[in-house]
Amino acid sequence: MALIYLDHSATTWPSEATIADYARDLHQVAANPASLHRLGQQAARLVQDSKASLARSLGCQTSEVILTSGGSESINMGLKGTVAANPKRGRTIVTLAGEHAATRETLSYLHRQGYIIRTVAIQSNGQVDLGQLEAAIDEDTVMLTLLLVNNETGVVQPLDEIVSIRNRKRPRAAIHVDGVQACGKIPVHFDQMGIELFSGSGHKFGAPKGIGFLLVKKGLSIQPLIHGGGQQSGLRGGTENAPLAASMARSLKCSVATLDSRLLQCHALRDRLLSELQSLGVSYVQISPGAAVPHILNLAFPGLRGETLQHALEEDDIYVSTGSACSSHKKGPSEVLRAMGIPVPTAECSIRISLSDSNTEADMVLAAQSIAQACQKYRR
Amino acid sequence: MPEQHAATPSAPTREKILLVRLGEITLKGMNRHKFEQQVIRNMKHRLKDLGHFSILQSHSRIWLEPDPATSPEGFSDDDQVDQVINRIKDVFGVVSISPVWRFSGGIEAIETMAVDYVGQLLSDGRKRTFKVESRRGLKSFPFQSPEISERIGGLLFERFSSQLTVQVKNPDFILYVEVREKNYLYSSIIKAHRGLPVGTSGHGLLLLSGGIDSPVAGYLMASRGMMLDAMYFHAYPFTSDQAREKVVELARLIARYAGRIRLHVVNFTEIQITLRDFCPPEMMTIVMRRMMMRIADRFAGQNQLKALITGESLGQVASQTLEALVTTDQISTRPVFRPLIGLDKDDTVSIARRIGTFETSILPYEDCCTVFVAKHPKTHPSLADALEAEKDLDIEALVTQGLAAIETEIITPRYDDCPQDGAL
Repeated sequence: MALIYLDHSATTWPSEATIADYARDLHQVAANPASLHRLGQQAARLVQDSKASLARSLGCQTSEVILTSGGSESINMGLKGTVAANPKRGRTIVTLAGEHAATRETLSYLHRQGYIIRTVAIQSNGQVDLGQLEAAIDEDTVMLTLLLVNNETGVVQPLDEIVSIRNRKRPRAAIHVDGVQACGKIPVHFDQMGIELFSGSGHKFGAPKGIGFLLVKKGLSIQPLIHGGGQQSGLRGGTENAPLAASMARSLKCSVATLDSRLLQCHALRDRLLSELQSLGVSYVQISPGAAVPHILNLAFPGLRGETLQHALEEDDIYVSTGSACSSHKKGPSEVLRAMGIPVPTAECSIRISLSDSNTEADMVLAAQSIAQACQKYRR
Repeated sequence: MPEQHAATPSAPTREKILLVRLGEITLKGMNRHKFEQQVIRNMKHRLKDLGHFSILQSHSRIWLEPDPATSPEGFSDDDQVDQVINRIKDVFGVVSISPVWRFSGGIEAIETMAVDYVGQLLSDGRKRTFKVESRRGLKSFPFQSPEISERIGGLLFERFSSQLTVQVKNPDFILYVEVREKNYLYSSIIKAHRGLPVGTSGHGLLLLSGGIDSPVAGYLMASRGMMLDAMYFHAYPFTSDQAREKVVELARLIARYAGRIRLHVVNFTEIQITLRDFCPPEMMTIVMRRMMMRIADRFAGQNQLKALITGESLGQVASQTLEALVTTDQISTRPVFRPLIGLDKDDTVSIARRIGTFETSILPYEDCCTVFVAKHPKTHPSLADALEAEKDLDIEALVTQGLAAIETEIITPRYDDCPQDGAL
C-alpha cells in the first residue's frame, strides 16, 4: 500500500516542481543579496521580486513584508517587537485560550517581563466568546493576538467581529494574527482584514522549511528581534535567503491560485472519510465543528488513545497527528481541546487528520478501514 | 640515599601521569588481587580506542600513563588528560583521580618543580590561598614530611608573594608533595563513583522501563560489581517507538558505568491485549507485572543471569505496596534485587540527576505499565486475588509467546568526547 500522508498541517511535502525550482535557484542565485556586485544584485532582485509576489498573494504592500525563518520567529517578532516599540500604548496583551505554543510561550516570556496577559475563553465551538473579549480590552491594551485557524481543530475565529470590537474599544491596540494555518488554505487579504500584523510559515503551504514572513502594517512601529547588518530596512538582520524566499513566494502564489478547487476537494475528502467511518460502524466524536476549515479534522475515538491509534495507522503507512506536531511531545491532553471543554478522556483519544489536494478519496477509504481495524483490535 | 635522589645539576625532567585511587577494594583480603585486576581490565577496556596506556598497580593505587615507549614524558596535553579522566572516572572501584607530575631528584628538584607547577596554576593572574601537604614514603629521604611542607610552602610564598596567601583551613588549593622512589606533585583530586568493579559480582537482569527508577536501580547494582543485561517490554502501538528509543538511550547512559549491556526487547503487545481482555481492570497492573516477571525469570534462567533487578520502591505507587510486591515476588525463582526499596523519591531523583539519566527519563513517552492503568487499581492484592485474576489465562502459552518475540540489542557506552553515531 502506498504511503498516505494525512498530516499536512504539521508540514507539507514540497512538490517536485518546488524542489526543482529551488535547486535551480540554489545553483544560480548563490550570492549575498547585500553584495554590491552584479551577482549580489541578482540575488537582491530575487528577494525583492519574491516579496512583491508575496505581497500580491496576501493583499498588502511589498514594504510590509518581512522575511523570517518561519512562523515562530514571526510570532515572536510580532509580539515582542510591537510591545517594545510602543511602550506608551499600554502594558496589557489580550489573547485567546488555545493559542499555538509559539504564542503562549512568547506571552509567558512577556509576562515575566512585566506585561499583563489577559486570556479570553473560547466557547465549545472553539470560537472566542465575543462578550468576554469586549470586556477584556481596555485603555491599557497594547495589542491583541489570536490564531485565525486553529492548528488542532480547524476552527476559524470571527476576525471581522474581533476587529470591530477592537476598533470600538481600543483603536490604538494592534492586532496580530497567527495565520500559519490560514495562509494558502483560506482567503487572506491583509489590507481588508483591518489588522496590523500577520504571521505565516512557508512549509505549511508547500515551500521548504526555514522561511516565513511577518506582515507589518505601514505606520506601525516595531522593533527587530534580530539585529545585524541592516537588512530588510533594519527590521531583520541576517543575510536574506533568496532561493528560499522565491520558493515561498511561488508556493503561495500557486496555493492562492488553486484555493477554490482545493477547498472543494478537501470538503469532499473530509465528508468521504466521515461517511466511510459511519458505514464501517466506527463510533467517534467529531471535535472539529462543521464550520471549521475542511483540511483540518479532529476526531476522537473514545477508548482508544490518540497515540495508540496514531501508531496503529503508522503500521499501515498512514500518518496522522495527535494534537499539533509542536506540542505532541508534551504530556497531557491538548490545551485547545481543554479550553473547548472537551472531557479529558475524550481529548486523550483524539487525533488530527489534516488533508491536502494530494490526498484522494481512495486514501480516505483506506484510512477509514485502517481506523476501523485499529478500533476493533486496540479499543478498550 | 638512592641514586635518583642525589642532587642533579641540570633541570630535572617530569612526566605527566594519572594517579588513580582505589577504595573499598583495598579492604579485601586474599582475593583483593582479583578485584584490582578487574578494575584495571575495565579501565583498559574504556581506553582502548584512545591509544596504548601503561596501567600499573601498586599498593592501593594505580598509575596510568601513555605507553612509555612512545610517550616517555607522559601525557602531552591537558585535553588528552581530560579525555582519559572522563573515561575512567565512571569505572566502579575507582575512588578518585589526580593528574600528577612525576620526576626524580632531591629536595632541589622538588623545589624547582613546585615553583614551575604553581607558576602554571597561577598563570591567570588571580590571587589564591594555599597550603602544602607532604608525605614521605621513602624513609631514607633526608627531610621529614613537615620539613618538606615548610620548605616548599616558604619558597612558593616568597616567589609568588603577590598572588599567594597561606591558609590552613579550606585553602583554594593544596599542593600535595609525595616522596617515594620518585617524587610526585599534584593539586587536584577528582572524585569518582567508588563501588566494586563490574564483573566481580555476577550477572543480573535489569527490568528497564522508561522511568526514573529502573536506570538508577541498574546503576546501583552495577556499582556493587554486577554485570547487567536489561529487559524492556515494548507494546507498540500502545507505546511508541520513541519510548523504545528512550529506553535504548537510558541503557546507553547506564552502560557508561556498567559497561556493555545486552538489551532484550520483548514484544508485549499481544500479551497486553490478552491481559486487557481477560483480567479485571483493577488487577491489570499486578497481573501485567507478574507476567513480565515470569518472562524475565524464565529468560534469566535460560541465559545464566543469576538475579532480577527492579526499580521498585516500597509504597511508591499502587503496584509497589508490600502486598503487591509479595504477589510479584512469588513469581521469581531467583533473587529479585530492589536497591531503591527504602529510598525516598527525591533521593532517587538526585541519583538520576547525578548519573545523567534524569533528563532522558522524564521525556513524556508512555511506557506499557501506564497504558491500561485503572482509575482505582487494587492496592493491596493478595496472592489469591492475583490467581483469581489470572484464572482465564493460559499462562504458559503467554510466557512462551513473550520469549519467542525478543529482540536483543548490544548497547555500548557513548562518551561525550567521542560521538559514535549520527549521520552528520
